[in-house]
Amino acid sequence: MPALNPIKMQRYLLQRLVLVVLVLLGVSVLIFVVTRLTPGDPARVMLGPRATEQQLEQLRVAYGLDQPVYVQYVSWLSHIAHGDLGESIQLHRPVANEVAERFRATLILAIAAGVVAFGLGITFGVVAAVRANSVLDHALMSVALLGISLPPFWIGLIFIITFSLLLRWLPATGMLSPTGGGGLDDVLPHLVLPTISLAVVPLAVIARLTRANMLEVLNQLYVRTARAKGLPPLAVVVRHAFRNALVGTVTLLGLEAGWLLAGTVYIETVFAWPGLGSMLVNAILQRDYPLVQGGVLLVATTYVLINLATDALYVYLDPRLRHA
Amino acid sequence: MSTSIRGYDMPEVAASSLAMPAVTAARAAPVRTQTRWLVARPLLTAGLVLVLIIVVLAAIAPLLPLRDPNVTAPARRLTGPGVSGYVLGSDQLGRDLLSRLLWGARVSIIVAVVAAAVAFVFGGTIGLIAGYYGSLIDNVLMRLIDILMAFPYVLLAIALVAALGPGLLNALIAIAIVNISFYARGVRAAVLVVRRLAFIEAARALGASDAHILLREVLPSIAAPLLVFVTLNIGALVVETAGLSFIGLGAQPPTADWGTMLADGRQFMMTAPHVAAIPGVAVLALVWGLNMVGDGLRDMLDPTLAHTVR
Repeated sequence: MPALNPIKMQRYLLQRLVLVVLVLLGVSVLIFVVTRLTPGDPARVMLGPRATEQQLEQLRVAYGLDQPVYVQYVSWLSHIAHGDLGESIQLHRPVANEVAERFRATLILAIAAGVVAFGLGITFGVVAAVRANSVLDHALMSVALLGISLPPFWIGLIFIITFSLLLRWLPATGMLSPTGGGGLDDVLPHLVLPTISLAVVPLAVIARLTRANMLEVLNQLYVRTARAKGLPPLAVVVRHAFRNALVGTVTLLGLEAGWLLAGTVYIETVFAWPGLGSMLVNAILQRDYPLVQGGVLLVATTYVLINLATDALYVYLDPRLRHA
Repeated sequence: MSTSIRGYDMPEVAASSLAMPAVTAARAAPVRTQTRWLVARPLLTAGLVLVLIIVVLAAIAPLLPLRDPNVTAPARRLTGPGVSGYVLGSDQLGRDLLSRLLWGARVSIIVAVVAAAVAFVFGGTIGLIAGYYGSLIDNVLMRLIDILMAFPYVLLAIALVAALGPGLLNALIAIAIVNISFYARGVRAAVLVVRRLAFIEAARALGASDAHILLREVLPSIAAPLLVFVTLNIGALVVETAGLSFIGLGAQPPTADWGTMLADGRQFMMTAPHVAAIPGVAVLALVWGLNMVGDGLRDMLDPTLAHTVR
């Protein structure tokens, strides 16, 4: 195994970090352009059809909407640098507070789904690969193929119909019940259906990829050597094959994190989950520019950082890359 | 390294298999050999059959003895399947669900295919150029794609539709733009595999122009992995289109489309669950079929993987 080269590592990660900043700057420009392209006057949307021109003008001045777009952009950016995301036009409260609250709910959902998807996905993938071409393998992979074909919002609807309306086992919507204490025992039952709905597709994707990676590794010579040495089969699978197959699965971490964050848009809509996804859909439709900008920037930042972490993890797990 | 759409691997097809000998052989062979060839690939065959059934039914919808998909019958709203002449029941306005399903299939399929074509033209061009020229051009183009990919794609699509205004055409444009990044990356990865091969070098030595090399040499040589990629991508696009319609940003009433049908059904989950269930089954069937075809093609075109599985 080649020795670790900390200076190269540091330079690589530093380069990536600079790129992240550049990408996020690009994202901020893109958000700004897209929201400003949106037809409809936010002042009009907010004050309603009967507002006078004077009232509209006052609001535009108050939110800086009368300024040229590039002035608005620069001022927005300089405020962000000071930790100020502005104020929501619709909600009359700081964007940072609203977004933080919503983000918490989304994180709970996305992390729960991520744990389920990666935990079960990797397990099923390894089992299928170890028992390749058995009935179990074919069954698992057929289900996985069906799984990647499922529209997540439809799974949500079917779950609500089955488990909430017919069987009455679990609540259909929301994160907390009105009478509940807001503790973990209140959140958990609400979490089950949205988590599974969100996890199904990535679970199937992960299972398929893990199986393929495991099969590739199991065919390698060093695995044959390990078997020839007379090591117990379980040790070969876990210590020799699995650890190397995992490197490939890790690349999915960034991709699936993006999918989970995006999937929450539909799942939160279906289950009325008070997260960032459902907030953003509403904010976009209501032309609440500051809220859209703050929310999208937060999601994009999270996504980019997860991808950065994935790359770093990848380099850590695969020493060959340190010298590439 | 492989690129992927939501984890679908872009197959790295070995140079030797790029000419797709299997396909050519099947095309030239007599019928019995063709049948045997299909039977030997149950996944591909089952997928093709499923997709063909749906596409044909959608294509001949105007010829079928169906009710008008938009004619309402308030007296017979939310009837169950098989009741009073409604094969699949009726929706909240008494419209025939089977008819809406088949007419909606036309909308969903056309939007997905056209969006994929648009994304392919733009993304593919970016990927070809980035992969072929490399260095600075590659770096600049791929960083721009990174910006596009920094948004979770559903969110970018929603923002774009909000900017352009809700509607089927705008949903199509948004979905196409969002998928440009996938095609750019996928095509680039495939180009990187072939661009150092001898036949490209030979073409260049013969004095072929870059445009000629890209379109007549590079593009055909990556056709096989691209075919798998497109098949799987169209399935993903069907889901994305339905998703945008589901949250009200795609097809507008009264146009029947699988996503709007799902959204309609959502309001009557308690009294008439079939209204929400049926269009979802349709989406699932089409996407499942496309994924089977994609998987089947990949197994066929990628000898290393086929070897591993066998």
